[in-house]
Amino acid sequence: MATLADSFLADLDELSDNEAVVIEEEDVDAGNMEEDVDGEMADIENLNYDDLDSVSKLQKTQRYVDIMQKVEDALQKGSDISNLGMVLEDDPEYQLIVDCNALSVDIENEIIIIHNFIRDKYRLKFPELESLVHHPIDYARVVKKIGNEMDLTLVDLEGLLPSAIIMVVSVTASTTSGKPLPEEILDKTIDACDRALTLDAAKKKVLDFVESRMGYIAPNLSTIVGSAVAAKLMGTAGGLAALAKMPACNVQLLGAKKKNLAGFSTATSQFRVGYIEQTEIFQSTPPSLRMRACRLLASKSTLAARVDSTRGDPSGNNGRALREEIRKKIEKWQEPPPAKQPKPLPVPDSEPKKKRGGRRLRKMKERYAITDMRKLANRMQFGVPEESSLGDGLGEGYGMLGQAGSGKLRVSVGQSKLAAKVAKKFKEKNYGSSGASSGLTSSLAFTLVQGIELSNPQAHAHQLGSGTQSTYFSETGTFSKIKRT
Amino acid sequence: MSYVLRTLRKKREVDTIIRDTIDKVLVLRFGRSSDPLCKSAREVSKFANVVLVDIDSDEIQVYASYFDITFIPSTVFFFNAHHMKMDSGTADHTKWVGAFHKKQDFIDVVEAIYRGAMKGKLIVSCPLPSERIPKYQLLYRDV
Repeated sequence: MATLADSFLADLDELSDNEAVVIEEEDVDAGNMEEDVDGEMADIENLNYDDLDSVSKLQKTQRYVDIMQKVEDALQKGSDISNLGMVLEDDPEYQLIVDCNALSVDIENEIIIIHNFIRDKYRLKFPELESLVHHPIDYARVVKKIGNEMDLTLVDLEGLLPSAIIMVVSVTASTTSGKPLPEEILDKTIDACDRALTLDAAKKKVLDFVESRMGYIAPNLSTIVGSAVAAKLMGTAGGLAALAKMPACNVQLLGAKKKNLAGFSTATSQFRVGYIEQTEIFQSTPPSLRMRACRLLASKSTLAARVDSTRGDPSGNNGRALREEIRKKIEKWQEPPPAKQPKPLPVPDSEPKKKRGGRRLRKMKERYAITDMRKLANRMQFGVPEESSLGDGLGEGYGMLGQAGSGKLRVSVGQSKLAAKVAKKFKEKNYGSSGASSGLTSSLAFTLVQGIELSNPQAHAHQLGSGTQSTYFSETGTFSKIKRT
Repeated sequence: MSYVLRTLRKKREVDTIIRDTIDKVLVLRFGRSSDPLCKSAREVSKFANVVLVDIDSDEIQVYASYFDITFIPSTVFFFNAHHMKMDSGTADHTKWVGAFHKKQDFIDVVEAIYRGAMKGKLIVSCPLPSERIPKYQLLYRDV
C-alpha cells in the first residue's frame, strides 16, 4: 500500500523526467540510470575542464603519425612524376594525397576543439578576447604571449595582430573583469596553445606537400589558378571529388575570411572572395572588373576541377584552353566602347506622337472638361432674355443657368462619365433629389417669381437633364418618341 | 566636314537636280566657297538636299538673273520642283539672303520649309527671331 501511495504521489509530478518512475524495481533501475547519466556528465566536465589529452586525441592516433611520417619523407624525396601511365587510384602517392586532404580537414576540426578548450580556460582571465580575435591560431598565439599578465602595455603584440585590433585589445584589457589564473590552469592553457600551434604547423606541411604534387594530381586546375591556390582549395573542400561536386559559387567563397566584427564599419569590407583572390589572374585585373573576374575564375576552375576529378585530361590542355579563354574575356571587358556615329536628324513629323490613353488620362482630362454648369450658361432659351452678373445685359451672362422652368432646380457638380457608368448599374435614379447627390440639399427651391417650386420627379426622369446631355447617345435614356402608326 | 558640298556649274545639272529631288527640300546655295553648311548638310540629309551652285560659271548666270541674285551667298529653296518662299520679315520672300548665324538656324529654316511644304503651302513664315535674320536693304534699279 505504501508503494501504491508513492506511485500516486509520483504521478502528480508529471513534469519531472521519466526516471522518477513508480515501482521499486524500476526505482533501482532509475537509480542506475541516474548514476550513468551523472557519470557521463562527469566525463563531459572532465573533458572540458581538466584534461587536454581527452579533448585532443588526434596527435596520438596512429593514422596521424603515419601520414606525417610519409609526408616528411615525400617532401625530402622531392617530386617524382613518372607514373602517368598507371591508373590513378593504384598509385600510392595519390592515396597519400587523398589521405592528406582528409587529414587536413581533421586537423582543422581538432584546432577548433582546442580553441574551445583554450577559450573556456582563459575566460576567467580575459573574457572579451574571444570576441575580438576570431581566428583560432591567432587567439592561441595571443594567449601564449599574454600569459598571466594583467597589464597589457608590457605585452608586445606586434606582428601577431593588425594594429587596430591590438589597440582595441589593449583598451578592453584595461577594463576587463577577469582575474589572473591559478598556476595549473595557466599551464594547461599554455600547453593547449602549443598543441594548437604544432597542429597548425603540421597542417601547413601537409598543404605544402599537396601543393608540390598538385601538377600531377590536378593539372588543369593548377594551370588556371596556380598550384598553391589549387592545393588550398582542395584542402578546404576535402578532396578533389568534393571540390568537383561543389557549385561554382561555393568555390568562389572557399577560404573567405569572416566578417570583422569589432565595431568597424562594413562599408569598406572586401567583397566575397576566397582563395581565388590570391591567383595571379585576379591580381592582374583592374579593381573595377575584379568581381566579374572572380566569378569567371570560379566557374572555369570548377569546370577544370571536374575534368581533373575524372582524370579526363592528364596533359592539362583543357586547363590551358580555359586559361586562354579567361584571358581573352577579361581583355574584351577592357576594350573602350565603339565610337558614336553622328546620325542625321529624323524627318519632321514622320514619327507621330504617341498619344496615351487609359483611365489615368481620362481622369486628368475630366479636371479640365466643360462642366454642366458651363454648358447651361453657354446656351440660351429662345425668346427668354438671360440674366447677367451685373444686371441689365452687362457683365457675364448666365444663359439657362437658374432659370425658372428649366426642369432642374439646382445645378450641381454633374457626374463624370465614368461615374455615370457606375450609376447606370444602380437603376434607381435620383427621384427626389433632382440631381444633387449630397444629402443636405432639399428638393424645394425658392424662385423669385413663383415662390416655392416643386420638382416633378417624373418629368425629370424623362427629360434626361435640361438639354445638356444628348438624348441620342445617352446610355440611360429611353425612347424619345413613340408614335402610334 | 567630311565631304565638300556638291557643286553645280552647268544649267543642265541644276535642272536635273531640281527635277529629281523628290519629297526632299532642295537647298540651292548660290555662293563661292565651301562653307559652314557642310556639316549641317548631313544632319538634315534625311529630308533635305544641299547643293552649292557656283555663281561664277557662265551658264549659271541665267539662274542668277532669274532669281535676282545680287548678294553672295543667297539660298533658294525648292520642294518637288516648286519654289518655296519664306517670309522672314525682310523685303524679299523668294530667297534667303546672306549667311546663317548658326548651324541650328539653318536646320530650323529647312525644317520650317519642309513642314509647310508637306502641308501643301508654298510660303512659310520664318521660325527665327529677328536678331538672327541677316538684314539688308533692297535697292531698285532701272525701274
